[in-house]
Amino acid sequence: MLEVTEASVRRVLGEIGYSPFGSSYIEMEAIESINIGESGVDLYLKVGLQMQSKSNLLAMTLSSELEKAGIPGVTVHINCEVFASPLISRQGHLKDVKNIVMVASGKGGVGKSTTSVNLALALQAEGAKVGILDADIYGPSLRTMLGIDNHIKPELVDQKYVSPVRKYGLKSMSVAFMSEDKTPMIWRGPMAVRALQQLLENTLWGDLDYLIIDMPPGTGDIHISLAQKVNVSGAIVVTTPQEMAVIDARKGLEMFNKVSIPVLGIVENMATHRCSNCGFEETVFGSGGAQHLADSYQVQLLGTLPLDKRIRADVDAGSPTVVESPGSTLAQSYIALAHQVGIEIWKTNRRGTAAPEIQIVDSL
Amino acid sequence: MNEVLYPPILVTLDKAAGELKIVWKGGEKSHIAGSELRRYCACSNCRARKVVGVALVTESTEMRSARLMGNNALQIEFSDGHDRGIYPWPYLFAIGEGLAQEYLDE
Repeated sequence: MLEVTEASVRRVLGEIGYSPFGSSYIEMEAIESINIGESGVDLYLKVGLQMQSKSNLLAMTLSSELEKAGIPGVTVHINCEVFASPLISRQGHLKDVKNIVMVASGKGGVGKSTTSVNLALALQAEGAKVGILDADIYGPSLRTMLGIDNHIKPELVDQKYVSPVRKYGLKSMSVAFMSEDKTPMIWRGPMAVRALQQLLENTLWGDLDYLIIDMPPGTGDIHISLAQKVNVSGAIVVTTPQEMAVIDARKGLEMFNKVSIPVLGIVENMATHRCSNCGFEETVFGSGGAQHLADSYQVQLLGTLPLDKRIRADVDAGSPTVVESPGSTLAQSYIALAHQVGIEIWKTNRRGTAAPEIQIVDSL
Repeated sequence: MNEVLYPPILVTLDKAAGELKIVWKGGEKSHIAGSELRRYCACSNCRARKVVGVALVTESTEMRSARLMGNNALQIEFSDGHDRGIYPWPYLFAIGEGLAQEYLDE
């Protein structure tokens, strides 16, 4: 049996190659402290994402791994806290928002909004404080997807600010909350960008771990301006496996590289369809496209989601799958996606350099 | 983008000296005069003027403020209100090195 010291526990933890975070506990600096007492060892981990559904399991697995390596009787305590992104300058009402994540796609219709809303709810289900901003001014969908009644408008505070609309615990804001259902936003680019920036900065978001921005499709005017004006922690690119969508997703990735926004990874949506009659699983839009794209840009494939009628039906009914049937495999795949996103944000924040400090001086 | 150089750690706008001082990530320093920044303003108007060879309408090179634009650029407002120019880090570095024209030509 090993002599149990802090050093030996650390060494063994380094040798356990597996951790759910893709790199070892040592590399992620996840070890907060190790207390060795009479009755056993207490290992305190500090984890940079919320993972309520998995943390007990992780503690148990780790304890048993340590036992196998010759250190029995370790109690693992997991302390989850989302890191604040060093990239964000947090002006005004964004000051308590730890991370801002853009969800974008090159092509429309790949399920970006559906993924955003389910991802936001999944992050929240795991214990994070989440907000969502529907930035798709030409086709806003958040009201429908969250089932927010038409007569509900955001509350005006001090004539200047608005409170986000709360649904399922999620803080949400959309340009559609301000307008009538049937009126389209007839705006040119600069107007639209200003409106979005105001919506982002004048909403009283409060304390958030993640603010998800559901971007309009494409890589046009609004995208470039928003990417330039709003500094964000990272971006997620949604695509389907179809070659045509992958080509457009590539453009999205290039755009984020140009404006130095870290890409957290790619989500492959509508990857497979299981026939509801016979159970046969078909790759409707082909396969491997997203993986290939992720490899060529050296980013993570964060998750693969199925093409399923229920996902569509649930958002149309205003109750996304993650809240409608939380136990289902579909909801679980969003939870798994939320973990990956959380892990990538954690890693990106650890790597990231702080936003530069800007001083303006009048004289010496 | 050159990961070694950018982003800067500290950007100081010294109004008295009319100068922008930048300390880059690796410790290199750039001192850029307001007039240089104004001359190499990369907004579409100023570029168009350069192409047709028309002088600037106002010659004000006093800088009023500087603010961060997204993750990779600085926006500078001059005292005549001109604030259209957005200077990405690589461009600012090039201006500091006297290579602004080469950067634009590239």
